[in-house]
Amino acid sequence: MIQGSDLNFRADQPALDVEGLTVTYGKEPALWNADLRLDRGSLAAVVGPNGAGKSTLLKAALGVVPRVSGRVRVLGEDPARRRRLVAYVPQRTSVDWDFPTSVLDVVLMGTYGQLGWFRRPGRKERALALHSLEQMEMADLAGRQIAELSGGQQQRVFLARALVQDAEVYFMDEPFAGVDAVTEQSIASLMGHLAHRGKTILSVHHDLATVPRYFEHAVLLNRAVQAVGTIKEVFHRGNLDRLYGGRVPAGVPDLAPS
Amino acid sequence: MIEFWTLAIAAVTALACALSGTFLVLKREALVSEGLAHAVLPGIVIAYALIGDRTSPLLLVGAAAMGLVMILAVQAVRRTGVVDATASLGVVFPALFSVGVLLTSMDLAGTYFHADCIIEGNLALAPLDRLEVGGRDLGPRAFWSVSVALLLVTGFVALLFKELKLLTFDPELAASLGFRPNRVHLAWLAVVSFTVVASFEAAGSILVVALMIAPPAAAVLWVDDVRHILGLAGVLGLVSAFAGHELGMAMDIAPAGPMATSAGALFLGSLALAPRGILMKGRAHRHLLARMEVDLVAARLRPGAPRDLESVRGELGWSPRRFDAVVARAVSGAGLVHDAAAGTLHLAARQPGS
Amino acid sequence: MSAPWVDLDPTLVVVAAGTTTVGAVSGALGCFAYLRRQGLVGDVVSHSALLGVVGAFVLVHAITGSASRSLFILVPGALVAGTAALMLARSVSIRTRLNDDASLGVMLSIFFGGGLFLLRWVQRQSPPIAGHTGLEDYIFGMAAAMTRADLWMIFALGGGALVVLFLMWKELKVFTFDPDFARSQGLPSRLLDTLLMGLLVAGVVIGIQTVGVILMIALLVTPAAAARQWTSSLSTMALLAAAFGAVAGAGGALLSASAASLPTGPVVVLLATTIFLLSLLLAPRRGVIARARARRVLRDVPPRAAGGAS
Repeated sequence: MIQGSDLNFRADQPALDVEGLTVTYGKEPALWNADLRLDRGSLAAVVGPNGAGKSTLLKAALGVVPRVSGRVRVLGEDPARRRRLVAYVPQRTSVDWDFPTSVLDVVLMGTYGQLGWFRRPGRKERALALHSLEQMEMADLAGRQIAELSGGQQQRVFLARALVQDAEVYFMDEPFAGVDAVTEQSIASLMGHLAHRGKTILSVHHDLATVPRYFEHAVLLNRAVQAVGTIKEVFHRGNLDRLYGGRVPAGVPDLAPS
Repeated sequence: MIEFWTLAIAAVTALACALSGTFLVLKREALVSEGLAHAVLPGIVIAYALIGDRTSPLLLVGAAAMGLVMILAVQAVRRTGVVDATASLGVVFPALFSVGVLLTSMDLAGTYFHADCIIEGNLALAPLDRLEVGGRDLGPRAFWSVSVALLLVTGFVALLFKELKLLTFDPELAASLGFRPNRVHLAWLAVVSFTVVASFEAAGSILVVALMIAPPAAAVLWVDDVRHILGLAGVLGLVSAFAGHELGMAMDIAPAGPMATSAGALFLGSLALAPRGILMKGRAHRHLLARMEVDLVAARLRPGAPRDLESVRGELGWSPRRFDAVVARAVSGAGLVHDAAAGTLHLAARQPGS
Repeated sequence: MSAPWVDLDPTLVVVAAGTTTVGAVSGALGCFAYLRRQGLVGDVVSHSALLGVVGAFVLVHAITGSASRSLFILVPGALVAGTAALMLARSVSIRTRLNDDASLGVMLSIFFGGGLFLLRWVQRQSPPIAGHTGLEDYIFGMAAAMTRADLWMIFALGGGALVVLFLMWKELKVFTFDPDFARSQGLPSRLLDTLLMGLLVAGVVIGIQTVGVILMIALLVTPAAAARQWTSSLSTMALLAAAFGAVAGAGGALLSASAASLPTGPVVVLLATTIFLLSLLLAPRRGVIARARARRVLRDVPPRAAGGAS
């Protein structure tokens, strides 16, 4: 069921096109003149040192934080007209997990955007939400209070909420942070599946060692975008040394020479 | 003479409150003063009912203990892990205050404490209540009790300045350095609680809160160093006390409201004028933003490659009006060249082929 | 002999209906403030309302030459002052280095101090302004002075707030739980924020006549904190908080009427606090006792088995 012009897009349009994106919270810009273009089906990691503006890049592209400058196009359109095609997975720790609500309820929040004002989620939405939970192997816990979830389970709930939107472009903020090994594997395979189906993923990622294993593209960011490309093109020693000022965190496999 | 003592009491109260309030404001617990200013009420009433002697210094100590009870109760509720800090305070202090109001209304305190005095205190009567030792008149009792509070506060700050500062800005580091931040904090809050109680009779709850929060909050907008903040907060507290007193006299009303309003006015004035106030900071921010905008336009250009105005504007996502204004500034200040005929923009420096 | 309810004092019926409604409305609205960790924001709103109430009274008197303590005059005043205090506090904490606590505290002192100042000035006027005597009651509340017109105002404003809450439930819920996600879905965060603020102000405004500006905070925070103990669903929490608030309100009105010298506000607050303490101790999962027992069970289990639990 396709309704509204905002669901129509041409397959050859870039999934995400960001130009001149600048955000400032205080004296120094948190994000400076960032240009970034991702084709459909990209599976991209945003990497960079602490304070490099990785989360800010996502939030500014989504319009969650105000920007000084910049143009963002999602599938060739203003993101405000593409909301239903964009899913956002905020940092797991950004919310209060002691909030009085159930797993299913959180996933249902993913349907709110399509429901519009005043309408409540009904049977159809519940079915969609349960299906997403099944995909994340969380269907048994649908009725569980969210305070009782482990870190990995919390992350699965957030991902299920993104899945229920059936979006084209996924913004994820550190989906692997603080999750167990099993969850890490299932998130990685979920991302792979999505990208395989032509969905686009832009994910902040901290663990440099696993970037080549889980992602196909990398965005090297330190307030400004330093490089964008496939892992092979940009994720190498020379670039990373430059990005981290010579202090590349341990555990990075020796990659292609610079 | 009475006016002299009224002013003296007000001045010492203002100083004690401003100095103790500084660390509350800096440590994100300004509203603890609001809690204490209400929670000590049952302490005062109960201590009076038990001791029966309004001149006893034990009365102050007993009432201050109720302030500590509030702090501990808030910590206990919070420590259950199911109620957060703000809500714990919001549950505990109204409950204690309710107990106080009920006890007051039940005349447990006799004529000692009238409900009207809870909010505003009674500065006018304070000078008449004298402290006599061995038949000698030493001045108003209220003066001596707030002076003891001021002494305690300055003593604590002078002796434990380093610890207090560390506790305020980096409690984790404080713990790792081996001193017990919790104990210092509790001792400090005990001093604050005593200050609240000592000020309560003359100032009432509203003035205690206003004098503890507004002067330090205003001082923070002017200076950076904690010592300077303390000093300026003290001065602003004194000014509010005197100005409020004069205002109250002129209008023939209780001085608590005017003093609190004066402290508030000083804060609002600082907000407008101080280097870290809203107006000045807003101006600095706009300045910064204007420079950033020019730099952004320049960053979209490569040396020697003129670019179409419209496409640069599009990439930056600005309205035509905003973009034109930035370009005008960039041309006059940052060495950009606007070729109006071609509708292009380029960097002035080192262009080959021109 | 007639049925016992016929003997009920009609004034008491009005007062009890009023305090019950106030308790229910502020209990439900307080849940959102509680979950957003903004419990003390209500304290600032209610204190600031004094300036609005007295200010509106003075203003109407200056314009029309006469003023009454009708809620129809005072409510708009309190709404304006409460909203102004919050907006000022917010812009101070966003635009200066002062933290939330300090900026809220400053606004509380300015607006409450100013309100007291103005109140004392009004009381000093000669010839005296007719009707000013009751203004004082807003500080500690005076439920007994509630009139039928006041009751209708409470119903209208409280009912209106609950209707808005019901209509916007899903938006307010997602905004409270995960504001960044809500924004990413195109929900207007500033509008929702303002709406929640407006609801809080409305709740406070109808409550201050009953419990007074100082104790109003307890009606917002305490029932919500108690309700949170018993449930893990937001809607149940709001309903429970409303019920707790209503019980405390009704109980307070009846208790204080039976013992003539007891002021209503503190009795309402202490009833709510009792409910909170019982909830804190006895609630099945989050209660202190249940948790202590759970810990003991965990400790008695051999460490290997305990370690396996997730």
